[in-house]
Amino acid sequence: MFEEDNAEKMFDAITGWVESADTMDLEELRQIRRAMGDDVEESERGFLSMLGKLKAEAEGKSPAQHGIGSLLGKARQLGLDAPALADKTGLSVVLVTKLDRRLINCLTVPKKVLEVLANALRATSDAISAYLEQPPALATEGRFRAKENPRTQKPQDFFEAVQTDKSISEERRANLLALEESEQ
Amino acid sequence: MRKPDPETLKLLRGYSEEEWLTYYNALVVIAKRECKSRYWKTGNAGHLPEGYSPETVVQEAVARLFDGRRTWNQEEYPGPSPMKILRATVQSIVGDLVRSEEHKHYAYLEPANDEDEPDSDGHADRLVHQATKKNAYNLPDNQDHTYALDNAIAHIRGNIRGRADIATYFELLLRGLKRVEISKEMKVSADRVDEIRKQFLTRTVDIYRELFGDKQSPRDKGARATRD
Repeated sequence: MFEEDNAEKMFDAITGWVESADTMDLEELRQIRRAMGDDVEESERGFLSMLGKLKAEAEGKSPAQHGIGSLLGKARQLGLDAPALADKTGLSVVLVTKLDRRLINCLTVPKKVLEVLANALRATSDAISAYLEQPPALATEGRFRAKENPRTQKPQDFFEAVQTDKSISEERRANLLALEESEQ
Repeated sequence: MRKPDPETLKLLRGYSEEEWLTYYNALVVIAKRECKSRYWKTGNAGHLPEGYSPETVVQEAVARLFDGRRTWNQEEYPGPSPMKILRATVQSIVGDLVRSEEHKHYAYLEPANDEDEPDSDGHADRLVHQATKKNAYNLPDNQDHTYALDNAIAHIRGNIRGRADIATYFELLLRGLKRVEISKEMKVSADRVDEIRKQFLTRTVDIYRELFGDKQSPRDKGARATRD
């Protein structure tokens, strides 16, 4: 029935009943997901929480259109901490923290990175760009321990930050550095 | 930022919680199949890049519809149900993610620059490159996969033996027929097809758990271990 080299088509045929998922009732769908090994209750809670936020935003507030106060703050509103934002964007915690503090020169941030950040934060690339163009922010931690007045660092080149990031996986580093060529 | 049109927002705000959960669970099942289908093609375990999962892909699709990044064209996706537009969005997101992952593989596997090759004609480096390429792709062994799937089909047939209607349903499914086509072929109503499907899934749940799960079949793993 199937060609020897067509496992994908075989799988699609065996699971053809999924095509009818939109005609199934909620209980049947839950049973199917449980059978697939999913924690349906937890998954539904997460979805309803997100849906509530989307509905609130849609009710005239449109927060995505306002300026962004902080990348990590915006992420927190969406239920993402720094590691989750890093995972969602293919960056690292160090990089998202540097971007949050605007310690990276906006002009060197690849468009692709602006886009994935915008997608993750449900904002526009322009809004992300506008945030990053502002002056660097001071670190909020340890300010009472410093002997000297706090100074902001000079914004770093994005690709230099990627190269010197000791926390990032080699796979992500390679992916990000590959963007340098596509930007040129 | 694009704004969703007021009609779309009105529709999206009008669904009950139960309706949303029905759409959500249906879309997650569809997304899981999309991901897993690519595993049988690429051997990439069905995991999505960038930290995405079938659940987050569905959430992203819903978010895009809400915030206007995805426009609900009523001519293309008519009716009050968002399932078709959301389903198309889910498939598009999964497709984009997989394409970007495949692109990364190809970029990584570009031939090495000749200047970097220490041997005179680059033959040694090419051999190393080919070996790396083979491992990096983690290409599925089609014999392993077809064996695993043939095995699954045999198990399913065994589990539904004695129920002619369910057996017919499965054979029609294997021929690629959809719900309405199956109903015509079996000369029963579409609702009856739904009933048969439920009975079919009840009898085959363990097999599908294995097919959709992260674990490969023991034969699949064994074959890989032997090959590696």
